[in-house]
Amino acid sequence: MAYKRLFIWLEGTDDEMLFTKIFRPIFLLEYDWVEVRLYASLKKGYVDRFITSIDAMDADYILVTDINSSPCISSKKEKISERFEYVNKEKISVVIKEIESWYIAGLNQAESQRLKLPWIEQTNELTKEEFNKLIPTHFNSRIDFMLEILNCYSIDVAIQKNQSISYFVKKFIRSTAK
Amino acid sequence: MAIKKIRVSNFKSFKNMEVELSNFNVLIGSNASGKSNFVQIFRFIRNIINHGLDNAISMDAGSVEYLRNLKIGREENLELHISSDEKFGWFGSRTKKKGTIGIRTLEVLYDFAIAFNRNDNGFYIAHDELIHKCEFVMFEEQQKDFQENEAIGTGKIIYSRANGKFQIEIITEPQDIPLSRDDLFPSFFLDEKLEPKISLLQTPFFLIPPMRDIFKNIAIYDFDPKLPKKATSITGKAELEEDGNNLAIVLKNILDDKEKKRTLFNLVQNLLPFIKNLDVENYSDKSLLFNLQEKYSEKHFLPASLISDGTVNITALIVALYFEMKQMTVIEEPERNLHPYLIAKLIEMMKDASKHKQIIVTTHNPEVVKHAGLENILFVSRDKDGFSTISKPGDQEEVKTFLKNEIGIEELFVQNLLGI
Repeated sequence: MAYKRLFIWLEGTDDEMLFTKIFRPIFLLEYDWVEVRLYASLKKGYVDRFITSIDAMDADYILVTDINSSPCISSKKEKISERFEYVNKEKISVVIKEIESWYIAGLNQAESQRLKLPWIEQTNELTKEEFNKLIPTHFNSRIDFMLEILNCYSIDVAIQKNQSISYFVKKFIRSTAK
Repeated sequence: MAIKKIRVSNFKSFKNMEVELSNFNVLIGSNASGKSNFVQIFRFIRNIINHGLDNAISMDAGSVEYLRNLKIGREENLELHISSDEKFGWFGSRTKKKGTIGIRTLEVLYDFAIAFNRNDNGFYIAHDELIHKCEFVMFEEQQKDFQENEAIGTGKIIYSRANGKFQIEIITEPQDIPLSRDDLFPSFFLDEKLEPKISLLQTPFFLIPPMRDIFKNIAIYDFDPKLPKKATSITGKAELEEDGNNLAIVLKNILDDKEKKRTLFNLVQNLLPFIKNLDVENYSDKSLLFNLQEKYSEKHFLPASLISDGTVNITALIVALYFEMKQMTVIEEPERNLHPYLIAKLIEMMKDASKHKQIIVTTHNPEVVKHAGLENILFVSRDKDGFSTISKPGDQEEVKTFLKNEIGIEELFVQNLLGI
């Protein structure tokens, strides 16, 4: 069987922590090699050359982006295509709204309570600013708080609480599972 | 913010330099541009407070000759100006007649100058002035508790020296705010003689909390990863040393605290996911050695001597950033021994930690420059006369033009084009 590689392109280190700890181990059940890369500080020509190389070696890739202020998923994908010419729109996953909403989505009620967070049933509208306000005062590091969430993260809970995670899991994980 | 602005004249390689700092500052520049001399300003301030002016000069330069600029020499004063916008409150008057007046310090300005003797290597303090810009507030005592009422004015409290004594001047707006110098400090204290070479930095006027915490405890680190690999005596300092040699002692204190241990593990594993456990071993000769367990070999701990330099450096950096309670931290070349791929994460950690403390790092590393954020970069260079200057590349039109055309800040740095 051919050696299967997956490149996951992410915007920044907040995305990287989540994908490295939660999604990478799942993808490793299907792929022999999974690499997480950050694209926010890369030039567009570089990402395009990288995508060309990935295609040439017959590897897979996913590019994850926050929807931010874009009115809809299609327009966000359009924006990404304008920046990175060679990215296949089918390989783009759009986070609604920002990656911080995916963090909170993975907490069940008991863990939310343990971390002294209010229970949030749906995180589809949760922004970075709202997430920052949720950080309990006994955490003096935002990064530590995010890592602590990941220590008790549940994908099953997350897909119930955020539609874009549900879509991501359905499209990129369940459809490729052995 | 601990230090908002700093200005020096005739100090080391600087003729006249003024720079505004943010919470996170990345100092870049070519070799011998003056980065270490900039760090030396903070060390000098800290040493004056902790060891006195004579000792600070001796520790930082050997003699005044090397503290001032060699080219300028004794002709001009060595000047230092610092401003801090760290806000803090304290009580002024607490009399029945005047009521209780609270003082809210909004900004602290400190000006200091050394003049040099013409004929020898002697020096004297030519100027020494501390100004608190304040707001005055009336308080009302209610059942042994103080309730803040309305603000009654603004003003300045100026501390200086005159004829070998402290001098305090209070300027208020409106002028009739009933606050006198005797309300602020006991008279015996004000009558104390101020020795010629004792700076206000060393007196309680300057060391009112939180100013004391900012300046007395400026942390400067230049880690040598070889040193923490050796056993250290159990009786060493509990605060992390400048070179990190007592890392085992500091780690032991962190690991003894459940919550701190949890945070340490999260942060270390974020950068080094292969680490399963960290521990500090106590030896019968009263020494400590830290060791590490990798997830690849769960039954065995590796002693510090076998741990990689990068792992030791990252552990020391995390301790300095998150566990040392300092309001200002300076780290020289934090990226040493680190794989370039880890640098983006390290910089994110620094930005994260800078929400609670002011951080200055020096670097030669393009990856650090790339991820630092243009607004956080300070570029040190020499002018045509050889004096060090500091500029912000983010303010330069030429740099903006390059960036618009997708030539990255790190490329401009590598190509030596930031001073264009």
